[in-house]
Amino acid sequence: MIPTTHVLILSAALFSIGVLGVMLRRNVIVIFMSIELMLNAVNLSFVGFAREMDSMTGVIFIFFIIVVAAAEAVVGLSIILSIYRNRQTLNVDEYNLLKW
Amino acid sequence: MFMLPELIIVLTAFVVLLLDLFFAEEQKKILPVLALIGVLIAMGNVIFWMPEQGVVFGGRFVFDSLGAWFKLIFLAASGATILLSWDRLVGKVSDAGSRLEHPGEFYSILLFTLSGMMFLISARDLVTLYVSLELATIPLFVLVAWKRENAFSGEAGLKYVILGILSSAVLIYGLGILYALGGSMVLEEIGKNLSPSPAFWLATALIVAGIGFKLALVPFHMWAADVYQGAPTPITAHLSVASKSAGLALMFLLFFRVLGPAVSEWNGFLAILATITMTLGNGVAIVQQNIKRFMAFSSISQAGYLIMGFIGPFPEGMPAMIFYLLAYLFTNLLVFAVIVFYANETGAEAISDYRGLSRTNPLMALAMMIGLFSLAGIPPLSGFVGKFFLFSVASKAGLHWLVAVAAVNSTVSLYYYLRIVRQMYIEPAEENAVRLPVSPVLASTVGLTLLGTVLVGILPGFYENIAQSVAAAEWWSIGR
Amino acid sequence: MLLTFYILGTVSVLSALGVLVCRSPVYSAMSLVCSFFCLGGIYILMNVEFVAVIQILVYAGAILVLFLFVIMLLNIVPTGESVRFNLPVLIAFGIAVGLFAQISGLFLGDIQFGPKDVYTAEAISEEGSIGLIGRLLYGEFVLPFEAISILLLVAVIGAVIIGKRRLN
Repeated sequence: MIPTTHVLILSAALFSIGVLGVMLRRNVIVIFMSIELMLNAVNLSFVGFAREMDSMTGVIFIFFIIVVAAAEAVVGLSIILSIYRNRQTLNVDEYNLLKW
Repeated sequence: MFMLPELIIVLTAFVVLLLDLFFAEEQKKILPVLALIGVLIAMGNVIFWMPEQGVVFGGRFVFDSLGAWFKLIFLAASGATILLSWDRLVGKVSDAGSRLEHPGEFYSILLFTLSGMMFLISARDLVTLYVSLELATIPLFVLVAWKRENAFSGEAGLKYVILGILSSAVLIYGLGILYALGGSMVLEEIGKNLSPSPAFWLATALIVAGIGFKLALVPFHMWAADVYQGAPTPITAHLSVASKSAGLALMFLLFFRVLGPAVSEWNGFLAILATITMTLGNGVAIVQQNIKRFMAFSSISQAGYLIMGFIGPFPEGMPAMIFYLLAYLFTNLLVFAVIVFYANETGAEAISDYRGLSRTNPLMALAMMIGLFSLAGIPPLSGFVGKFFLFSVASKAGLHWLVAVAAVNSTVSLYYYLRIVRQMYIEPAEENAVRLPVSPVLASTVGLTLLGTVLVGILPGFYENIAQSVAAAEWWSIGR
Repeated sequence: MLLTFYILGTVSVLSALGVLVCRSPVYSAMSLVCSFFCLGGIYILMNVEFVAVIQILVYAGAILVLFLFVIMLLNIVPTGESVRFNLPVLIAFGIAVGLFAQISGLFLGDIQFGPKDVYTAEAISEEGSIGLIGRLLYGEFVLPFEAISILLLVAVIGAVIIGKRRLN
C-alpha cells in the first residue's frame, strides 16, 4: 500500500511545476500543456484521497475532471488557431492589443 | 418535474440548433424568437413552482425558492442577451463590424450556458457543482471569441480561456481537499465534518482564488477588463450580469453550505475583500476611455458591493444581496442596451464618441442617464434602494467603517458615471449628426429594462418576497 | 511496490520539468505524454485500474494528440526560446517552490481525513472496478453525467465555429 502522504506530495510537486510553467513559458501552447499538468496533479490528489478514505466517489470525480479538461483543451486550442490566423504569433507577450 | 425549467432550456437549445441546419438565411429570423419563447416558458415555470421545494435525483438536484430567484435572474439575463444580440445576428445593423454570424449555434450555446447556471444553483454535491460550473463557463469562452476575424475578440477569448482553466484547476484542488476533510461529496455532509485546520485554510484559499476569478474580485480581476472590451458587446452584457450571478451562486453554495462553521469569522475577511474590490474598481474606472472597459471596472466595483451581502450572521444578508442583484441586472442591461444600440449604428466604443447623443437620440440618452444614475445609487432608482439594503446589512453586523467606505465609493462612482452623462448632454454634437435609427427590438429592450430599473426600487413587493423565500429555504444550522 | 512508485514518481516529475525546459513544443508534448504514462502506472499501483486506462487513452491518447495536431498544423518552428535565469524567472521559481513547500508541508502534517467509506481494495477487486464505477456513474451520478455530455457537445460546436477556416 502506498502511503497517501507520498502521493499527495507528488501531486503538490506536479501542481507547482505546472504553475511554474504557466508563469515562465511564453509559447501559449506550452502554457496550455502546463495547465493540463496541473489538472493531472489534481487528479492524482483525488486518487490519493479516494484510496485513503476507501471511497469510490472521488474516483468518479476524476472522470468528470478528465472530460472537462478535454472540453477545455478543445475550446482553447480552437481559439489559439483562430488567433494565430489573425496575429501569426504564439508568443503571449505579443497579445497586447487590449491595453490601456 | 422540478427540473422542468432546465429541461425546457436544453430542449429549446437543441431545437434551435437543429432548425438552424434546415433553415435558409432569411428564415433564420425565427431562431431568436424560439430561443426567447423557451426562456419565457422556463421563467413562467420557475415562477409557477416557486412556493414549493423539491428534491430530484436522490438529493443532487434541489429546487427551492432561493434557487428559484437565482434562476429567474439567470433567465432574465439570458433573455436580455438574446434581445441585445438579435439585430447583430439576424437583423440589420449599420456598422458592418458589429455583425455576428451563425445565429443558430450562437443561441444554442447561449442557452446551454444558461442551463449550466441553472444546474449550478440547484447542485448539492461537489460533482454536480463542478460540472455545472464548467457547463456555465466553457460556452462563454466560445462566445467571447465568436468574432473570428476580429483580433480583439480572439485575444479576449484566449485570455479568458487561459485564466478560466487556471482558476478552474485551482478551485478543484481546493474542492478535493474539502472532499478529503469532509469525507463525502454532499455539500451539507462536508459542512458538518469540517473544522478549522491548516488543510481547511489551504482549501479555503484555493476556493477563494477560484471564486474570486469568476466574480472578478480583486486581486483576481485582471482578466475582466480585457475580456469585456474584446468580446462582442451583447456577450459583455451577459458576462457582466449572468456570469457574476453565477459566481455569486457558486460563492453562496460553497460558503453557506460547506464553509459554514467558521462563517461568523468571515466578516472581517469579506469586508476587506469588498473594500479592495470596490475601491480598485472605482479608482481605475475613472481613467477609462473605452466604454466597455469602463463597464468592466464598474462591474468589478459593483461585485464589491454585492459580496457585502455575505456579511453578518447568515442568512440575513442574502435578501439584500439578491435584491441588489435584481436591481443591478436591470440597470446594467439598460446601460448595455444603449451601448449596443450605439455600437450597432456607429461602431464607436470610446466614451468621447457619445457626445451629443442627447441631441440626436434624446430618449436613448435619457435611458442611459437613468441607468447610470441607478448604478451610482441615486434615489429613488433601484440601485439606491439596493445599496441601502446592503449597507444596512453591513451596519447591522457592526462594520460601520465598511458602510463609510462603501458610501464614499458610491460618491466617487457618481463622478465617473457623470462623465458619460456630460458627454451626452453637455458636449456639442458633431455638425451633421443625424438621428440614429433604433431597431424595434432594441427599443423594447431599453423600455423593459428601464421599467425594471425604476419599478424594482419603487414597488414594495420584491424585497419582502425575496426575504420570504430566503427564510423558507432549508438552512443548515450551525450549532457551534 | 513502493520502489515502483518512487521510480514512476521521479520520472513523472522529471518529465514534467522537461515540459518546461524544452525549446520545441513537440518535445514538450512528448515529455508530457511520458509524465502521463507514469501517472497511469501510479494509478494502477493504487488499485484504480480503470482510471489508469482512461488516463492513457483519453489524456495521453486523445488530448495530447490533439495538441500535437495543432502544433503540426501551425507549423511551429522552435524559436530558440529557452529559460533564461534572470530576476523574474527566479521570482517565479521562488513562488512555485514556496507553493510546493506549503502544500506538502501541510500534507506531511496531521490531516484529519473524513469518515471512511466501504470500498476497500478488497471490495473493489471483488466486484471489479469497472462494474463499480459503472454502477455509480449511471446510478448516483447520472445528472452530472448528462450535464457533461452537453458540455462536450458545446465544446465540439464551439471548436468548429471558432476554428473553422474562413472562406474569403
